[in-house]
Amino acid sequence: MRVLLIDDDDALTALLTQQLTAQNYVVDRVADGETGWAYSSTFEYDLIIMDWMLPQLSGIHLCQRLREQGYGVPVLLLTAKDEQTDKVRGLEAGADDYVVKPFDSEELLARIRVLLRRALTEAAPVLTWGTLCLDPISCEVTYQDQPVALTAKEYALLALFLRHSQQVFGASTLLDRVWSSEEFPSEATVRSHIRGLRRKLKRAGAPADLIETVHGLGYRLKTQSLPTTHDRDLASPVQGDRQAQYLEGLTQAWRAHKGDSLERWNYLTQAAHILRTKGLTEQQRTQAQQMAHSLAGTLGTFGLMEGYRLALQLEQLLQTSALFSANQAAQFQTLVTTLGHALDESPQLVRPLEEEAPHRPKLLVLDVNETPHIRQMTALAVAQGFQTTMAASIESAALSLLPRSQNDDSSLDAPDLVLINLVAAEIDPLLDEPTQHLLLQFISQLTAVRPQLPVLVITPQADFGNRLDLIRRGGAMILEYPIIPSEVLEVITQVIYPGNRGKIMIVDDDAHHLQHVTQLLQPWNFQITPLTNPQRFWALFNEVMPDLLVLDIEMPHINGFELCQVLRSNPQWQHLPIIFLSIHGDAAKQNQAFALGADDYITKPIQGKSLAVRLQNRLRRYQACARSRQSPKLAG
Amino acid sequence: MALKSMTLKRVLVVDDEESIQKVVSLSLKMEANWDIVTASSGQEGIAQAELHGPDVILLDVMMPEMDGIATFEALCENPRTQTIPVVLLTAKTRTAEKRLFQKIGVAGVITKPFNPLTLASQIASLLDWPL
Repeated sequence: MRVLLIDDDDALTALLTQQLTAQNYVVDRVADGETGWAYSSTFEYDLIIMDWMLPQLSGIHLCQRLREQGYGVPVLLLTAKDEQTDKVRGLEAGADDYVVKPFDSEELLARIRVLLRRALTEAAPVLTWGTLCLDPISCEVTYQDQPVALTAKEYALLALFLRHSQQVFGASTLLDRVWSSEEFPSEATVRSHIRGLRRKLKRAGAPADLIETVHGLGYRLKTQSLPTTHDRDLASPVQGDRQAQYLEGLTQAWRAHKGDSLERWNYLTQAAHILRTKGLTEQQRTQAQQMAHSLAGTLGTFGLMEGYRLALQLEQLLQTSALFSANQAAQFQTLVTTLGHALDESPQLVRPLEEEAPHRPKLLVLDVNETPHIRQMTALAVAQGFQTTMAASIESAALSLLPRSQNDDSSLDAPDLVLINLVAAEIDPLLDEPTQHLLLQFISQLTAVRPQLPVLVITPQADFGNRLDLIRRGGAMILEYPIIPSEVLEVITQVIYPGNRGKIMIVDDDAHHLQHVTQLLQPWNFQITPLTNPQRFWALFNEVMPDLLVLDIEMPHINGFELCQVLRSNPQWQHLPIIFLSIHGDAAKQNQAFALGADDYITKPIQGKSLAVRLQNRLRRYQACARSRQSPKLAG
Repeated sequence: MALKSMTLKRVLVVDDEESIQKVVSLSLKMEANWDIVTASSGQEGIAQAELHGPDVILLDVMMPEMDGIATFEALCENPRTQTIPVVLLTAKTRTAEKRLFQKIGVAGVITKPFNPLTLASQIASLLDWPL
């Protein structure tokens, strides 16, 4: 059972962690509400225990945010407030229980047990399909009573298919339901995971097409009788048997020896704690490095590749740094926490190199004052899979970013984005004149040498004049301080993957033209849903919920103008960007389109790049507006 | 030297971690059905090598007390074990280190994580054994 404890009282959290750990709970500790939100929205927890009074984001607000965003995890509020009205407020905000400080540990543990039990009994029952079973509580999958080891994504895909056993799922729907918004998979990723899932099910003896492809539509569970012995023999070639046999042995060995890895991880957890308070001695550092090294070897051998990569990163951090900066200590802590979660994965066959991890964007962060908001942002970035390098001085940033000679090929290792912090401190955010000057100079120098590299700047002085100056120096995006870390990361993601993952629905009765447009837009990696029959519009629209709609005007049964009017008559779709694509270049048609609520009007024939850029701009603005509508306090 | 068939090989796996010993044994058994002997430390490895005279020693680099390199040197100085080829198993991946390992005279270096389905083939190809 995994518990997230959010409290800024160090003594209390240390004691509680000790008590919870003694009861075999795995505990992650964080000290403020925003980091609590970052952790709870990034990792899976069985229970969250949080204080009411938290820095940055109060427990009540965090609880509300969790519920608004659809997180059902049980929440227990801990607080010194004991008025009846406070209790009511806490429970109304979405907390499941409320314990007043000072509390009796035994009572608290009993309440935790009750909450967890309740959550488990409310959870869905075992899902079955013939002899295939998926238990949502133990997360175990079996076929004919034999365990099938799946990755988290394969498991989520299978659970979705089993929960909706009659439904066909298109790749884009699967992307939405199974992948989080922080990941950037393509439809090819879906195909590769479906292949992986089929392979593992087949290896366990299931028919190869248990998850069948419905041509042009997607995937679904295939209705069929149980496989005969003959089918089973056909489905299990020698190689598959060998792999299954190996995997079974691997799983058994992992079960028997997972404790050793947990012990090493515990050592690293302690090291992370010492790092935050006083720093490691040379002996502790060497030992922690050895622990990380051995963990990497073990986890890699068992095919726990995420854990393997994290352990390598920890080893590297311990190798390069005798003295840890505050940011590096925070980064270390996040890596250790994330590693703890990776230890819960099931062993699997080590994948060949070409199937290695998806692209992990690289960030370089220049923060000369090592400020807390950058530290939190970095921790969050690491947790979300960014490869983050910290530079605490202009010199060290220059060393990694500016070429040292004409033949320098360091651009091969260049980051995907550079973040420069122009904030001095929380209370007095203005930098002193010389430092500010040097940093501005560095921005100009950097963007002159690397014009393609996006530079994002956080500054307390974001009035028009300063913004103009930064843009002229080559800054790609200017963010005004104060800003919460998760928002900075969202912007970073947007800059690195502009328009990516944007869902576009295109309605045109001319199938040939539709195919042509879809092909033109392919390099921009949008998620496109084409539709030739406007009569199917409403059903598909509601299923896809696109971020942008492209309409042809003249179509049989329902024309594009009518579709636009139907949407604009609904308050929910006032902001959805609607673009007309038409052969009619006359002003009357165009005026009519704009009068009905169109955002743009493009005349055929179209050019791929110009269309993509127009769509991208619309999408970006729509997504930014949607975000500020969701969190109105950020917009102010 | 007469080439032995894959099924007759005996491999000594020296790793302080029992879990790795198990996984390596599992892969080699599965792929080539080789005979496996294990040891959990450098000293034990030398003793087992003397006793069983394996066809190859798979040696972990990072072990407490006597590490892989020290064990390798001791094996080379021992007349009863000096002709046994040694393959290092290491989680370190830097090219410089790999070169250094090869320079001291090991038969090969295999980096963890290895592909369990082809570990025996990798060893066989390092030692020029027929597949």
